Amino acid sequence: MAYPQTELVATPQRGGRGLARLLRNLGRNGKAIAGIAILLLFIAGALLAPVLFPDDPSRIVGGGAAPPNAEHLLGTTARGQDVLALTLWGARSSLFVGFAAGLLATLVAVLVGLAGAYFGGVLDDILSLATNVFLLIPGLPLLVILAAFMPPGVGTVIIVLVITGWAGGARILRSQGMSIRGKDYVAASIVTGERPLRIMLRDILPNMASIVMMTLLGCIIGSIGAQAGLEFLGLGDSNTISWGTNLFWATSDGSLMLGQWWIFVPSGLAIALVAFALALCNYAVDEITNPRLRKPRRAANAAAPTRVTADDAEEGVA
Amino acid sequence: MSTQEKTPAVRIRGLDKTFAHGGFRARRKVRALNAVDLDIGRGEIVALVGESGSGKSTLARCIARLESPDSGSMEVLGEDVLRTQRRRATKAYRSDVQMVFQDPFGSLNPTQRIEHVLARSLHLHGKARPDIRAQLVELIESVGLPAEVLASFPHELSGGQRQRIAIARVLAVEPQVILADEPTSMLDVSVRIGVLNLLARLRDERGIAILYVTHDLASARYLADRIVVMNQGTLVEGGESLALLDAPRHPYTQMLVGAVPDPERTTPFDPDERRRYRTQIAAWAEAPSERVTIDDASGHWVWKPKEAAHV
Amino acid sequence: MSALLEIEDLVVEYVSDERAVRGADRVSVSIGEGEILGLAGESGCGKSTVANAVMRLLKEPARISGGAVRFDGQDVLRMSTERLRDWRWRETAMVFQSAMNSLIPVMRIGDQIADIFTTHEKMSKRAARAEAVRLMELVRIDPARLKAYPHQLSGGQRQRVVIAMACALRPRLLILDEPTTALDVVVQQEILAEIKQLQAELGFAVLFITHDMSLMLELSDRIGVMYAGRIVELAPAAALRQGARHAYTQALLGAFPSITGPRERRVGLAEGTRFTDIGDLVEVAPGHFVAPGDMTVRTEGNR
Repeated sequence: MAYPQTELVATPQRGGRGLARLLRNLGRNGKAIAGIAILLLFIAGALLAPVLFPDDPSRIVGGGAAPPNAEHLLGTTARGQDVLALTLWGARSSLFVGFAAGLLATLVAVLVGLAGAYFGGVLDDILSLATNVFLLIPGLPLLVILAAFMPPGVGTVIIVLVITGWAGGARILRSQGMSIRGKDYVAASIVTGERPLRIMLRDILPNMASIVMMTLLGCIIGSIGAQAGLEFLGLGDSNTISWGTNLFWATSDGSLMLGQWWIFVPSGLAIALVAFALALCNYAVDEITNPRLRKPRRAANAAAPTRVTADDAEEGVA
Repeated sequence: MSTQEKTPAVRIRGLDKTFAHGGFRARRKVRALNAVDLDIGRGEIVALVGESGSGKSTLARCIARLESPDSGSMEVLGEDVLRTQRRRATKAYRSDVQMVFQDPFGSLNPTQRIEHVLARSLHLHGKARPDIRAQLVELIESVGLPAEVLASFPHELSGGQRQRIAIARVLAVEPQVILADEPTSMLDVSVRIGVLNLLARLRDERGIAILYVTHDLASARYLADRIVVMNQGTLVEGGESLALLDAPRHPYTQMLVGAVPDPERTTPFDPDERRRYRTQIAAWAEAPSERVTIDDASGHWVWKPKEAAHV
Repeated sequence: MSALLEIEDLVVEYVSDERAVRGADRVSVSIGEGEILGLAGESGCGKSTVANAVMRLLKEPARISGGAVRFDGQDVLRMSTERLRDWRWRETAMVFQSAMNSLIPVMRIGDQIADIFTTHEKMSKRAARAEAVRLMELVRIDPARLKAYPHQLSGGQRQRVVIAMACALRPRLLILDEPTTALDVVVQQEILAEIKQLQAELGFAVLFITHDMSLMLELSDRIGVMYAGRIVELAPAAALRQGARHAYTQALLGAFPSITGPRERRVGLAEGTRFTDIGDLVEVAPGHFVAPGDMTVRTEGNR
């Protein structure tokens, strides 16, 4: 009936490594594009601040509390400073501290989580204890205390944010690390004779790429929010210009009470928009890595019987 | 058999392993291995047969030194490794003893290309030649796959192909003992025989000692020279494959043999007989037992109660 | 033997933006009253697709795009939702793959079984409970276990419960999709004996799906072998045992070495073997159908 014939074998498609594939898929996802676009907008604004407003933005340039007009697009503060300048310059500090603190917090979380997951035993017990302690301590009071006692400055803010921000990520990364640790390819690496560091970096970490990315985005959002919170309470470095300090001055000058919305809305909105953009990216990463979250092509009633589209049968009986 | 004259590749005596389950208050103990004695000769395939949860995977993992037994001795290639390599297996051990895992979809790192995986094994044990590319091609072809798969990622290949690559990774280090933990149970049916034939070839051509862990008695009979049967952590019967399965003596083995689907079988299933087996198995498990040799020629022995009237 | 279920040229497609893949490709087979038909094949061959299509349980992106399914003369594909709901479980029931894991974990077994009766038969709770007891006795489980939660039963017991639930309304056709794959061989034998016994008592027909050929040969009256959505061989079990005609069937049978008899070297399917251009079934002997087609081998072949 059949004669076996030998065919040429087609070259297998080249796939991408974990991270590369993830990034490629991000480029196709609507949420990711939107989120990244918004972020780029703000980063551009932050970078262009010295170009658009070369002078010190805290300089008094106009009448106090003037609403948006042709000369000052977002109006002026109670003291007569240009709100747009303050907002753009504020982006520099807020974004820098947010990203830096977020990155460092994620780094600490990865180290602690991975080490605990891989080595287990006593080391894991100690690291888990430390993680839980830092998780339990209420964040804001700890922030406040640390900020009050340490010398003011950007460095302090970043350190304080990292100390209060690493634990949540560590918990998640540890549990994900443990689930990967139990997989056969890790056991296979051990049996092949690989050393622990190599296994952690080459086997466990790359397969956690999406979770690490999500932890990073979460830490950045957290840091931006926490920094703004600190500064709003007046505990930040009052010499810097950031969205948080803008809001602080707006409150202390009574702008909220007086309904001078143009003074506090821009900075507040900026924080919200950046957080929103990061959250969009977060959802996009989640969607890509978890196929079940992808929106179904046709929104179908879950209990509907199978669609029949044969020529002589009724269409879509539901 | 001449393999018994040479030192066995693996000689296990009195291996015990207990796992503790549950949380704070309800800590339960599970006896995974119970005084296990086992020999695996060079150039021999021994099938370790038992149902899921019987402890057979645990034994393989102990030999692979992924788990540590609680007590007992393990002589691998003449060395009492539990004593000489107490805390961690040496590099040399990792080169001599290798393992093939059950899940072809989980035993390869999804983010690494095949050539990287294989080259890594070669480099780790100093087996890489200057012409490593040619060496990789040789390796991949020795397991029946074309050179093109070297550039692929695991998700681009089928289960059968991945399992062959797992075997290639094992072969790269030129081991003397291979532990195969249910290597075909997650593969499509039509490619299983190919993988089993490959293992047989490794025994014939390279004299590798292979422990084939499985729940499938028929494939054990097909592949293995000797079969040992495990029930709840205890080895209950062992011997040359055909001789053992033709005349099993332990009720557990008898029950297993009777349960394998057999299109030629004429007698229908008898639930009373099944109940009798279970009662006898439970009774034998309670009684203090010993290994009794049934037949020297085929090495057929059975683990039975000490004063049992007759088998 | 009048056909209870008739599947004629069934086509099921999985539709995505780029293309449509045929999960079942013009499948035609029928099952008579009280007959056990086995559908064999490996993962992805379409056997589960056909079974789910018969019950119209496939979800998007799957759709039935051709052919007919008739149960006792009634056109299943044209049934309204209410009629379908009535027909399902009452006249045809299905036990899914790893169904024992799909019992509701937080509900007692007794309540889950009683649910069937209160929903379909509009029975009172008391009557439903009595029926549940009767069902437990049917599958030989102590009725006291009705108070238990699923996790308190063993895998084999859970599977029996699921089978009992499928038989609850005395359907005329029972579809079993890999009912014993996750179970040990000893429990597997007990479950299958149970199914045979139930079938003898209740007289239903069975569509039995598995990849285990030796199991299929032991249990089925007739066997259909599927590959890539098509049936490549359809014959009585005895005929297949004596001599399968299609190369794929032979490979499948060859993959199950015997537990008795001489030990001979077997050759499975070579890596990369593909069957293409599978034609319609042709009768080569009374009741024995084979599909013509081509076979190509893409790698070095068996080693």
